Amino acid sequence: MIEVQQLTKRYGTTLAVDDLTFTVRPGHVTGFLGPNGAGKSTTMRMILGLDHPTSGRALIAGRPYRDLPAPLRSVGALLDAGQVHPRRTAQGHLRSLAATLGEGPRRVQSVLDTVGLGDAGRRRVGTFSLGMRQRLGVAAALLGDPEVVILDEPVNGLDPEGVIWIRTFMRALAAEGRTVLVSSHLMSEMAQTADHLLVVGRGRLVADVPTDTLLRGAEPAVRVVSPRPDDVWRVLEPAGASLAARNGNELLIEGLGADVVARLALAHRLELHELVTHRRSLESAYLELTQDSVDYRSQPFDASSDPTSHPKATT
Amino acid sequence: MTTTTLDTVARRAGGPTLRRVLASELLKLRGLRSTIVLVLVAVASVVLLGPINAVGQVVEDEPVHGVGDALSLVLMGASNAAILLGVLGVLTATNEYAHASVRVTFTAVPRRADVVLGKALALTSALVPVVLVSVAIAWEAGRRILHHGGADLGWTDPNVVRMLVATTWYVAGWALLGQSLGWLLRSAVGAASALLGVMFVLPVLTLLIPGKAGDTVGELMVSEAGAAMIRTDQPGPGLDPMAGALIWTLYLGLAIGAAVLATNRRDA
Repeated sequence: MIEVQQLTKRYGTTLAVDDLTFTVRPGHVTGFLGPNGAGKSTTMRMILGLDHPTSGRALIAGRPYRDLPAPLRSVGALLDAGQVHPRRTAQGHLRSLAATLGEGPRRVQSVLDTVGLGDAGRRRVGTFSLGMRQRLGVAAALLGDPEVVILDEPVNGLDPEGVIWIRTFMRALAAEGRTVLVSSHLMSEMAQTADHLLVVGRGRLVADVPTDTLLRGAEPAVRVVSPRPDDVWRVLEPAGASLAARNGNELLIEGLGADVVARLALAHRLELHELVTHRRSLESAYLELTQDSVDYRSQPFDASSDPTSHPKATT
Repeated sequence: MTTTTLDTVARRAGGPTLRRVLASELLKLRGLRSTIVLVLVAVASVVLLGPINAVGQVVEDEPVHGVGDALSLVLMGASNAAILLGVLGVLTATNEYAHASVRVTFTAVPRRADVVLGKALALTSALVPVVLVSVAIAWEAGRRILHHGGADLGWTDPNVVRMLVATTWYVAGWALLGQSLGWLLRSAVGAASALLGVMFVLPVLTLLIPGKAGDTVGELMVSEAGAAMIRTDQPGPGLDPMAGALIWTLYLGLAIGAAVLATNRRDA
């Protein structure tokens, strides 16, 4: 269980994290979602006692991280796959961490086996692919067999196999009753992994909802193209349809399913050229939520303007 | 709660105690080839430079004036070793920042004072035996070489054991200073430059202070306190070796204390 209470972090004049309050429960994968620069990593660092909050606090099992008697046995974290000296071996890195827990080479080999690096322990981390380094980071997070697992952008830069591995892995951890908090800026990724979503934008919490609810957020719309759109509308309107948009022969209908539209059109012998259900994607739900809180937005391309005047996108 | 009871709580919970942090830091120290290379080069300079100069002394038929003279000649490689191991000290701290592995370290051991102390203890306990053996070898070799030049030097001569111990503490101390500067400045280049500044530039700057005040300040500089600890020209002006050793050790304590304060206050 992670409890974040009115957590705020200010760097100079910018508010990186603005009064965040949420709880991450055990047994679920909780997605921490937001655009780049929304304050996800800063929040995670504060949960882990690495950064000092300007105000507010973060508790793990009821205690601030720094007061945990054996932090690695309570919390395992993967912050950034690069955080190992490239000239150390995987084994060497893990053994130095295991030593702080009073654990030895056996525990190290066991976590290396768990993440599928059993044979790569003696290799230098600098020779690892990004995917292998992510696995090593996960191995480090698992050393203390922790109740809480925190992963910052774990799928970044992974190949499809690695993505599926991490996804399955997180689900398995949650199924064992652990608390899993995973950050991402990719909505589609979170839709497939997380049961619950915390959406942040510009350091503020914009949504704290089950993933299903966010997905179900809006009724599906049905796009109908017909050579006789007016006749089609005359048939659909009494059945309870509402017209969301109209563009020439194309109607965007809400309130009726595609099956009902098809049946009505057939009954009235109306010709249809297209009948498509538009389910609101998680992507668009996410964009709506964070629209006002994106720091760096791409401008519509304008060839006449000076290219150097475009706002710089940062990560 | 005192550190001891915190340690007991941590040990029972299977968490990081100072002893476990020390074990972890020793593994980290040994895990890098650059450590081994720097230590080997430092050992070679202690073991070779002094005795080679002793050979020169004998060949040129220059006499050695007493045991003090012989000691400073035979142990001259120590100042080289101090620079090399000072840089090693810098790297032990700045390596953590160069790859942000300090975040992994601090999540494992949130009591950052334990990390700073553990690293200092690991460095000291790794270097002191190696340097002590090296200076002993240098002395034995140098003593035998100078014997051919007619000097009769033994292990029981005044100052010999004190000098070997003091020289070891001098070399290890520079490594600890480098490590503290590494924690404070977090950049290898910055901390190494600062270390050389403390070694060579600060004592020159104190010469600019006029009068007796300048002499006093100069004597109390880190490098001068360290040098006083290993001087063999007693009696003479300046600090005596015991006072030098005391001030030197005090400086090391202050540097480590500053590193603890800085790492505790800063975001990792």
